[in-house]
Amino acid sequence: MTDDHEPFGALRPATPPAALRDRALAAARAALATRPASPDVWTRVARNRAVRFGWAAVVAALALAHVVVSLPKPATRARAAVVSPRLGSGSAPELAPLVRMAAIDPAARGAGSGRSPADKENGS
Amino acid sequence: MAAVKYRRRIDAAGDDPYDAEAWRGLFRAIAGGRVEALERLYDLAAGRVYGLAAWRLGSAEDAADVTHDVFVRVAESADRLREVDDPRAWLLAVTHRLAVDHARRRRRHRTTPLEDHVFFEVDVSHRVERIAVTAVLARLPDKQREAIFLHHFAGCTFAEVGRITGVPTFTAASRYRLGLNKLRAILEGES
Repeated sequence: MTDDHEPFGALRPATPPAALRDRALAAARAALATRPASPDVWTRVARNRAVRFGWAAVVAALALAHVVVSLPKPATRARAAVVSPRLGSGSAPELAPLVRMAAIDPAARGAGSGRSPADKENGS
Repeated sequence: MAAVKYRRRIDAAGDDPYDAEAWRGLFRAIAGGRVEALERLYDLAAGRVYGLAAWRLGSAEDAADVTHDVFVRVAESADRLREVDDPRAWLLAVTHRLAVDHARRRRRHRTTPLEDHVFFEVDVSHRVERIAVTAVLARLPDKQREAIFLHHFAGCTFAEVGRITGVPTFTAASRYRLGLNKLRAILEGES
């Protein structure tokens, strides 16, 4: 099994010259002082990619939910079909509430035949 | 057991052992404009930065220029330092890129003789060894020397070496192994 550190023995890598510290830090301090002012926390939040992606996902989800909720339901369409012919047949306006009330209960569609439940039982 | 013994050699670049959380704290402080954090970062990291630049470029003068530019880059990028997860890798990646750019600008060729103190500290008691190993290291490709420094002296894993130098982990490990094997072969052949 080879020993990784054997080729270098006690040798240690070169270190930077002492004079470099002042030179490098002076230039870095100047760069730090002249950089544009750090953005405030709200600007940083707005620039954050994860936040922006999350915001876009929420907007898309809300838009989709709005579309789904806004779609007319099948029962509503059927009710409209039941109600519309009655209203369009020239019925008296005072009968419109009765028509609408009958439309609430799909089973009440049969009430439009004019036969009372008692008549239906007697077969007349 | 060999891995434990080897890991004791980490951070032999003359710096304090790497403390990621402490470095992240320094990065955040620099992002807040604190100059003393910049100075502390230099004291903690300059050895690794300079060493990587020296091993990549084979020149003490170029390594000093790159080290200077790295810390200027740290200051210029202060706003982004809060988002850095691994400060050591970030610093060394910046060093790598600046060293590559510097080499392209200077167009340094392998035939340029290297000073014998470029790679190692001047130590009278190991002078012969230092000169011999330096001469052999000079014959290695820059990328292999770089991989050896990062893994052996800067304490980076092969995955980190890959991220720093922009290559897959396997490539980083190959460069390290090839460089080390070549180094040993030449040293053993000459001895």
